[in-house]
Amino acid sequence: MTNIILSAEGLSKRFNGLQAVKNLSLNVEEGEVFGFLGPNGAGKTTTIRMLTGLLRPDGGRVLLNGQVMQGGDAAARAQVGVCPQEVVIWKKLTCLEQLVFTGQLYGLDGQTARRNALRLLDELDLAEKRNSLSGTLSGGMQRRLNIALALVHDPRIVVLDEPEAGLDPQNRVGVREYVQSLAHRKTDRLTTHNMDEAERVADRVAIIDHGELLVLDTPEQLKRQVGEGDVLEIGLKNGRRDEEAAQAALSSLAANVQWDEAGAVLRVRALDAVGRLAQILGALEAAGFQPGAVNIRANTLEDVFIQLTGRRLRE
Amino acid sequence: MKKTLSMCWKTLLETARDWQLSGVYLLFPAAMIAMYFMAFGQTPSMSNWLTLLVDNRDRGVLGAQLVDALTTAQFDGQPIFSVRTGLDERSGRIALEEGKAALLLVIPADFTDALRSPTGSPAELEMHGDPLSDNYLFARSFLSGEVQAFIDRQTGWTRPPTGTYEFLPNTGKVSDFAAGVPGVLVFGVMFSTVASALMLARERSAGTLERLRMSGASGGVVLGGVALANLVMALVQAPISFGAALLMGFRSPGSLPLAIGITVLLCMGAVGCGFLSACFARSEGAAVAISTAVMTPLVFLSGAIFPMPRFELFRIGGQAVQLIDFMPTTPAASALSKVLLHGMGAESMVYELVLLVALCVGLLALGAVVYQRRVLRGL
Repeated sequence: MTNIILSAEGLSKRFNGLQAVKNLSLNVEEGEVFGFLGPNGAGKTTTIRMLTGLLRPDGGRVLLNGQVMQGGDAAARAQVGVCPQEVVIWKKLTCLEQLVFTGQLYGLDGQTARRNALRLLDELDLAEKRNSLSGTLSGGMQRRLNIALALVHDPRIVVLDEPEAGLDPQNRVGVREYVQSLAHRKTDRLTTHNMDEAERVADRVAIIDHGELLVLDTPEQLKRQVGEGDVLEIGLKNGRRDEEAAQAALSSLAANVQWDEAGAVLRVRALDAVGRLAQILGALEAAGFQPGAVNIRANTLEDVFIQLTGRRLRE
Repeated sequence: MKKTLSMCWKTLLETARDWQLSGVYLLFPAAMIAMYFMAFGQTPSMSNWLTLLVDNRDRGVLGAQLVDALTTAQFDGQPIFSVRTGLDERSGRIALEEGKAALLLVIPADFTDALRSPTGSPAELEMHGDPLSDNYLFARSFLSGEVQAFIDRQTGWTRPPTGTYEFLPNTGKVSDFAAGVPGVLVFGVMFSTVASALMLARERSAGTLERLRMSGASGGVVLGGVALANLVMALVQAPISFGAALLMGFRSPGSLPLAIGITVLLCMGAVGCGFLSACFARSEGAAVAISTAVMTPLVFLSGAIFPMPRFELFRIGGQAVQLIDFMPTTPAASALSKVLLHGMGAESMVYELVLLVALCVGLLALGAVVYQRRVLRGL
């Protein structure tokens, strides 16, 4: 049985007449990597600030481990670690100094804060730089230190806002692996614009727009359920071009069919077409077609996202 | 309290590593004292600022003798004038207009003839200057006396003694430089307004203020840590400032610990002003601009640098209360003058100390409340 660690119940927030978040409810389970996606201005940051106790909701409530979280509740905040999208570090402090300092602010004694700090510096490959001023570190190192600052007090929930942004491939892989390794120990809430990042890392994904929760499910389920679907390019051996017959054969699968200009390749687009490949090929064969080579372009989380939030550019 | 101390230590580390900020913070009052020393501390003689221009047109010898007499004239064992000759009247007037001299004396061509005339025809000496200038008034007063004495000697006329000069106790000992030290110290200490506003604005613009809040640091922890760090800086700054004054010849008859205590108290008031300034500053540049705008009138209208006209509001137990008393710089400057220049103890400045403590506590509290409401609540 899954244990719900964080719940939002009917959260609402309004700024100067603008409804930033509207009656938003969701549950985050212990130990999962939870992807929180949305276009710019969708209400992600406002929701996260309410969920982490930094902002008081106008309506609704946040439950942390079953307890209602009050704004300014230090004990509740100590269970959450937030890594903002921007690198937020004290450039005139060494890596070790700022980790120990942050740990002490969270209420750790000096020894525990130092022990945690040294462990994190080691895990994030920063041990050699522990006595370097953070302002002198490379961008990738600063971003890893940014993550360490969210973890130094050993929180139960970690909120990582686009942790891979601005990283080179080596650093990106390192951070991704670290985030995945964290999932075994704590709950990760990941907010990102990077669909690839969310698709690779998140166990479940919530997509929000205009302050409302649009969908919440695993990436696989979302790809099966939302969007224009997977595309199968099926080569036909007998070269028969009969669009109506093909459409009729696949009508029960809600598929969309199209021939290429040469008439040798049939394009079939349907939700979860990849999962139903055998069924589609069987239906085509039954209708007298002779399917050959098959190319697959699977529906992506980005397709789901665009389908739900539209193509219009946001501020 | 532990969190506040952590915040204080972190602020001190950052400030110490920012050598430009820490250098200016710790050395600003000492540098002000050094500058003041260069302007007023060379010698205690009035001749430093009473420059007398003489256009001697006399055809005889007495004009030159009068110039010699003025050059060697003394008051309290020190030269009165710095005499410059060789200028024509036009050049002299230009020097006066530019404030480079206190007075232009024109000795007429018939000066010797007039003094030696058996009929006693008058010698028309001209004294040019700005009647609104204190220097001109001082110079004219001394010059009149010296010229009259010279004429009396030349004509053989003797007057009965008109009086003797006697200085009041504890006066005449304070040089121009020493008299300015308390005000300059106040100016220097008030730099804490800029420094504390800058520290908070830096946290805000770098986003670390939000991280502090996320870490469970209350407003009291953040502001208390910054205030404590400034207190430590003030405790280091004050001995440096007084040491610089001592090196430059300043000697105080009063208690140095009491003076340091007053500057540290004033520093806390300045930090309160810094908190208030930081409430309206989103960037470091804005923090410097706003805090300077707050600090400058507090220093210059307090009477610390130059005397202010009295505007008495009311009296409490015989103590006149003025409008400017409600700036922390006013009681601080007054208390510092009492202790540093006149050697008075704390019992002689109860009004100033009570007012200073009340204003500093009030400013700190007001700064903290407004910062909490305007900045921290919005995070």
